[in-house]
Amino acid sequence: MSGRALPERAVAALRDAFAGEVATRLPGMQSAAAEVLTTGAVSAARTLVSHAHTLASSAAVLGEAMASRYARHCEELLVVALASCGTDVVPRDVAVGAAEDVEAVSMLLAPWLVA
Amino acid sequence: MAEPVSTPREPVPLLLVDDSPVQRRFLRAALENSPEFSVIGEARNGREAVAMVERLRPGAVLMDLDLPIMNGIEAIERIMARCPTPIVVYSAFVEGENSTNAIDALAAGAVDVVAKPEWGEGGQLDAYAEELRRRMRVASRVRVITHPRGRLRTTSPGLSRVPSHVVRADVADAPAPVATVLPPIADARHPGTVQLVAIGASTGGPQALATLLGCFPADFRPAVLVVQHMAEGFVPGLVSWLDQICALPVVMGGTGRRLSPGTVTVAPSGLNLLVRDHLRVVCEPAPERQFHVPGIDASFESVADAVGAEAIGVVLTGMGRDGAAGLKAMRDRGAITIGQDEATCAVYGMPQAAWAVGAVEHQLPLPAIGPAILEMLRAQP
Repeated sequence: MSGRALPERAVAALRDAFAGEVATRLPGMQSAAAEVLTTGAVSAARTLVSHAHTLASSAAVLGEAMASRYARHCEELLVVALASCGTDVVPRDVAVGAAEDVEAVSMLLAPWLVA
Repeated sequence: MAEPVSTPREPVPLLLVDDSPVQRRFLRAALENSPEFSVIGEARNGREAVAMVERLRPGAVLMDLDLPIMNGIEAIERIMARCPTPIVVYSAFVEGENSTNAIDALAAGAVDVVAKPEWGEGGQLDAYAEELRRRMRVASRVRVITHPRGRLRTTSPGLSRVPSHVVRADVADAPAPVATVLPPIADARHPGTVQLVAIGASTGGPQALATLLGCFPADFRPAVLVVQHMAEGFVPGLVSWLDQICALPVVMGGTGRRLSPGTVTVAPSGLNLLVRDHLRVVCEPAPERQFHVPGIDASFESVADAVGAEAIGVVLTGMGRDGAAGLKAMRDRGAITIGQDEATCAVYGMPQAAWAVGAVEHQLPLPAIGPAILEMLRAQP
């Protein structure tokens, strides 16, 4: 399948938008992950899911495959846990796994913060 | 390489719905890279989407499912209830084990579902964008109807009256149907036992299938085969969803299995499901040139060979012409054949093609098809 190339200007705008999204979402992801890790709070886990979901999709569009993969893994891990834990705290092993994913996403997307 | 740019039509006005500015920018760039489309609005959540559809009246909507304030499914239902518009869902969670999301979206009234680009596709964005344009091109030509889910709730099991059916006036050259009103169907010239009801559907099919299969009671005797055009990975979700809402058990077909009486078997994606003697099933790869897989023609032609007159064939809503030749083969072998009418089709493509080749014996509105089949079965000895 071949496609007509996206205009350079559109790609540049897309990169700018992604840089803005990383600047907004990544700190939110990090603080939510820290809260889930320390308290297991379900509300923080939901916030983390939202950030991870958005970044996973956006990173895929920008070709940040590994970051997308880690963000999606973080999201899936928490979605499954939230479905089973209800309003209780997030299990410790899930919180640790999610925090590791967030750390990986942070490293991989760090260049976008200074772009 | 330059492509032909002459487009006689006005660009299709589109509304994009996604909470991510990155996704919205990507979608805008991808779609406006063709003169066929013009993005006239962007909504960040489901509530904005509903309001903007009412205000801007776009020709089609491309919408994420996971939205803040109002989620995508609720937004689709509201749009289809108030201001029916072709909606294509664009979501990360519509494949594999998440395919129930896709089916929920289709049941709510979306006409198509596209998975967001996954990792590894980043380098192929241009090709992805081309595919997105193709899907939006098809979707923008779909004629949608008001809130299929609402209609479904009121029409499925409780149907007691069969409305008279509509015969298209603009296909005068097509062979006339045998019956023009419903009562003669009950006087069917098929005294033999109907072993199998074979149903083919494409765009708009899941809702139509829910309506039709919802009419069949738990003691329905014939086997039922469903061939629904669907992308790889979505069929398990369709099977699971239909199983929840139908009185009959719904299963996925596979080689070596049989089509069982009183059971709905759905053709798997990526293969043609062929019916052999004694309703045995063989699933095999489609010929390279076959556009839709699973193919309705392939299944129906095998049904014609294996079951002959002891079958009922139904072609429901869908784009293209798959099913026409197969239904004709069934009719030629003496099976009863039914085509969904234009008024109740999301897309009057496949049923029209079937009608045009003389494959359709009875053209009926969707809510009348199930009761008509029950009536035919009651008329059996």
